[in-house]
Amino acid sequence: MNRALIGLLCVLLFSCKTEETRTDVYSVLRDVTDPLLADVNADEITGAMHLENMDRNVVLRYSEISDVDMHIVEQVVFKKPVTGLLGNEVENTKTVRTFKKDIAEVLTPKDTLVLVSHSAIFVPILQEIQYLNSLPDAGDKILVVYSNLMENDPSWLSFYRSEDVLALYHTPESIVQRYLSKADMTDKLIDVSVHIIYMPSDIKDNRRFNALRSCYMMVFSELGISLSFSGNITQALVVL
Amino acid sequence: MKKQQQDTLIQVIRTHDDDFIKELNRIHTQEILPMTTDRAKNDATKNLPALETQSPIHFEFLTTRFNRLIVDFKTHAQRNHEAYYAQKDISEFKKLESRLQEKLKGVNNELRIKNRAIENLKSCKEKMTTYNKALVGIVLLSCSEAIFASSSFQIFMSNLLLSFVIGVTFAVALYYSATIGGKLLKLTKSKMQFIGILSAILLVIGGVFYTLGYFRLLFLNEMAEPSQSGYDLSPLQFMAIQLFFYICAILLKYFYLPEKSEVEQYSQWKEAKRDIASLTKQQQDLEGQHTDMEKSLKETLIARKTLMSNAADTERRIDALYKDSYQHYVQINLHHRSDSAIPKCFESMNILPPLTLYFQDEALQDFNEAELEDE
Repeated sequence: MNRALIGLLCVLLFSCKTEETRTDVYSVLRDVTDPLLADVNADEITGAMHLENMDRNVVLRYSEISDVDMHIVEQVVFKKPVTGLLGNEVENTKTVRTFKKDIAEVLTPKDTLVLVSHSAIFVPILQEIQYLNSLPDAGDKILVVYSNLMENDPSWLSFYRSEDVLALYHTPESIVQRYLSKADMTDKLIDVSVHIIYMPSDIKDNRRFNALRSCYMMVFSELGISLSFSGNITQALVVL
Repeated sequence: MKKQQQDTLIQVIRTHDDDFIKELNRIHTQEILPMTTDRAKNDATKNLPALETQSPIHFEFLTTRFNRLIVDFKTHAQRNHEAYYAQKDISEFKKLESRLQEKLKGVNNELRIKNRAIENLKSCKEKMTTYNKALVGIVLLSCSEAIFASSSFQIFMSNLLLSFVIGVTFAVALYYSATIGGKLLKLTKSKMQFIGILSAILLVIGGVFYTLGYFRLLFLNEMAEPSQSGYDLSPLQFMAIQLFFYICAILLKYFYLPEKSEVEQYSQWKEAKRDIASLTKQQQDLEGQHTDMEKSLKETLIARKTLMSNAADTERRIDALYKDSYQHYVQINLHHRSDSAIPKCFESMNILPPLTLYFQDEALQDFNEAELEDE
């Protein structure tokens, strides 16, 4: 009897394992090369994070898209607090509040005097996807891009150049090929969700953005990355 | 169902009498009858028995032989002690029965006393039942605020568990304060005293409720989203609501709290109730034991009676064969006599000496009815 009990205890002890804490990573890229109608909204982003569920870590990364490929990345981390009987609801609420405040601070546009004459959009997006993909597969990895997607790099693609604009409307496949040539993705199993947030300003802008959207859809489909477009983040997450 | 089946079972008694009867028949036909024929013929050649002979001397060999068979049977059957054992069974049963009856009488007496006690304590039991019902309300009314406010203690406690511990401690303290308050109110002798003590209690407890309400408001405001304007409440509102509940609790205590003597009586009632359950079980056990004993005795007596009745039958069979052999002797003797006379000893069968029988006494078989009918 005693041996059976000891055996059972051993089985129970050896079958115990520490559950890894899930970490959800939200990354925000903001295009600062053009004024945006649908700009970053901290409340929307924190709402989409569902912080009432405290049983996980949450990381927010923020970076800007400008005329260069490399940028400063700011990061805010919410560490999973102790919940249940050994937790303190007041302390936890304060932690969430601080996290939201930090996010709001990070996402607040900084005043700059630097003039930006070009736009490097696709490469920073790919770099961020690759970074997110390299993180352990614990939780959700979501990339939110606030941009009009108007690439303006004379070395390979510029939608401010008439031949590239014509190619976008008449031979979008050639544009897709150019995008794909820039994407050197060896890892095809990508579990990052990408949401592009943009609100066109008029019908002409709408037509141009739809053409770009089709190209991006083809490129991301080819790369095996989930992609959605919407006017704000709430809608984007519902679409997913 | 099983008990019913047991009651209807038929008792089968096996004896070895059949073997003896077979042997008896064999001895009679192969040994006694040929011997009787020879003796009868022999005597007939000498015209014996003589005409005037009135004694059974010439066929007494039959008496001897059959008496030996009777003794053989007695030895073989081993039943001469059955009657003794039956009497012993009955007397043992009577002894045990009287002991059981004494115990049963004691148990019945105890039961009567306990039932009377239950009847006498009925009123206090009813009062306690009412109090127990009120107690649920008292506990809920006096403790609810502390339980509701327990999560708000997280403002100064490190975790929720400790906050609950503080909340429960408050709840227990409030319950006992209501109990003490009810007792204090019972001690009052005038209306003024009553109002004075009640006011004092409410003042102290009001302070506690105000503090708890203050903590709750702090907690609610801490937990509210910054966009919300906060709770436009005052600790006084919490205090007023909880004081109302508390007054209800304290008045319930005041009206329903039993006296010390009533509590003692109630514990006596509970004890009597427990005793009755135990005594009823004892009573049932004793009655069951008596029934089992009676059944067992009846079965034993029936078995013994059957054995003795069988023995009596076998003896009668031997006796019949004895008479049959005598008739055979007479018949052969008369047939072979040269004087063709009939001796006087053949005129009546009464001359034949009776066999010594052991199991023919009817009284032996009446032990069952005779002894048990007395009960």
